[in-house]
Amino acid sequence: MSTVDEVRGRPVADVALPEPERDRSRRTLLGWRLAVVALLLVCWELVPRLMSAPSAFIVPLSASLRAGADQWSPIVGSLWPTLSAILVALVFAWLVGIVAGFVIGTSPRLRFLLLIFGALYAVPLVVVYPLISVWLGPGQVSKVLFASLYGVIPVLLTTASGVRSVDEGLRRSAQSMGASPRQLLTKVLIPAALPVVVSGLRLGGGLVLIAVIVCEMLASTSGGIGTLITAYRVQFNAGAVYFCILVVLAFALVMDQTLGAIERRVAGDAAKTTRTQPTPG
Amino acid sequence: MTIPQLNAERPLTDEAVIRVTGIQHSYHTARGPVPALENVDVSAGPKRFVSIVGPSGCGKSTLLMILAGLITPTAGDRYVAGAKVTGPQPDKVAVAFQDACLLPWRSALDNVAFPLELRKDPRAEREARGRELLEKVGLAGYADRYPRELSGGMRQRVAVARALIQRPAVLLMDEPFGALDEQTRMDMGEELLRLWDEIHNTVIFVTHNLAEAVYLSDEVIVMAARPGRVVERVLIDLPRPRPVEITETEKFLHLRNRLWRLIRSQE
Ligand SMILES: Nc1ncnc2c1ncn2[C@@H]1O[C@H](COP(=O)(O)OP(=O)(O)O)[C@@H](O)[C@H]1O
Ligand SMILES: [Mg+2]
Repeated sequence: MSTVDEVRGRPVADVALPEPERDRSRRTLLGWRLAVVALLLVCWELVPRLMSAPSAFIVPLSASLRAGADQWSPIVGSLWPTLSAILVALVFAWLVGIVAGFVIGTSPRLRFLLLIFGALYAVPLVVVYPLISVWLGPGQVSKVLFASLYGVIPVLLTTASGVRSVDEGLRRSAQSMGASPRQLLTKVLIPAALPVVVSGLRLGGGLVLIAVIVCEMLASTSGGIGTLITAYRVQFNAGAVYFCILVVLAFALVMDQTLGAIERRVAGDAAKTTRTQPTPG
Repeated sequence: MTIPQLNAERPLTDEAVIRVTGIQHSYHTARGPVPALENVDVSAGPKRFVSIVGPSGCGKSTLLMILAGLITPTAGDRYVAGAKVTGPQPDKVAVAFQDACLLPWRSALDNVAFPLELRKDPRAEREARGRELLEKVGLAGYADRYPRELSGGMRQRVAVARALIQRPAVLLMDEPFGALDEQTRMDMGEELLRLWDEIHNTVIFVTHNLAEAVYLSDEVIVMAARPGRVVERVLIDLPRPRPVEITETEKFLHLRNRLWRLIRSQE
């Protein structure tokens, strides 16, 4: 047995920031963000009070909170229709987008579909909502369908491009080792494409939320926060409108932070293990 | 030199472990077919170390992928151990590419054991064999490292270990040391010979480095471009084992120069 115990290669230096330093810089960033938010809230309270001619549509923070408290029960009652529509549409958009993206990304014959979906992405799909609500009625079903349609496209496009960008060599070498088409998918293509796919999920998530709120604002009978916003606007209840907008912002913030955390995690794992090119010479 | 012996347990129709005949291949592109190989015959006997040299673009990689069953040639037949080939044969043929092609999200050990995982071997066995192979290529202490934490040469060793874990009758290598610096390349060549001494399977080794081809091989196949074809088979009758000093002998230089002239005369 001639084993070689002397290793001549040397490990490549890792240039990533050490863990505690990264944590500290993230905490500083969070501090700044909170400061900016606090400043905005103070301005919101003070500017309307200081204005010489008070307007019905510019009300201070405290008045908005009071209006929210007055309208507590309709607002709480409309949380679930909105939230459930978002969650169901997210599942549809993600599942269909990922599966279709993988199928289209891996089959050269279906590639032309990417052009079509790419073009659709540029179209303001809101125009089809009136049609959908006429066919299916203005309730949860049409909301979910429309939001899924809206969210599925970026998921599909990014998934397909993620799959297509997987190194040809990885594919080939896995095949030479006897990977079945299924193993190739689960053990090579999916993990390799994962970071890109997750960034698509975040984009799709944002669009789903927008689409659900827009549907609700357009159809006065569809229920949900969006419908309430329209209703309060018609009633000139500016404080309640602002309060509902705050609720929507909170939705968006929670969702984006969650998806962002997942994305960072996946991307972090990938960065930790990314193949660097051998340096010649 | 020993005459290649037939393996009695695995009867062959002829003495070649791997053989392709009348290979013709064109790539289909948007601008029409690109001819890559024309009427290529290549074979390698058991326990032979055969190198393929030639200018870039002459179809070496294409030929290797055809041998590996990764692409189907436009025309021609392929045999491994006497049986006709239609696709990859992981139990008989292993491939190591220039780019180590390691899965970046797997540790060195999990990369080496990947072929066994695809075969659904039990985990304990995969780990044991993986560690054994890592030790063989001198990376015993690096099982838990990820590819990006390894140098280019170490990544290439992992790729070689991963190919050898398949216990292939034929090992195909496409410029495996092409991206390494000269010193590492020489070290890797030396180690490859040491490993090969132990395993003694058939190796087909693509390179554009003529000294490397002479140093490693029993025979060198010289190819030319446009169209990609075989122009000559040169027998390398240097004794084995081959210490590195052999590269300074007159015979070595003579063989290397002969290959060089063959390639030059094709341009
Ligand atoms: N996927 C491909 N599509 C089209 N042409 C290709 C492809 N791969 C290789 N070729 C062409 O085939 C010829 C042989 O290429 P290759 O086998 O890579 O040569 P070598 O490995 O000797 O440099 C070249 O002219 C190259 O441009
Ligand atoms: Mg090549």
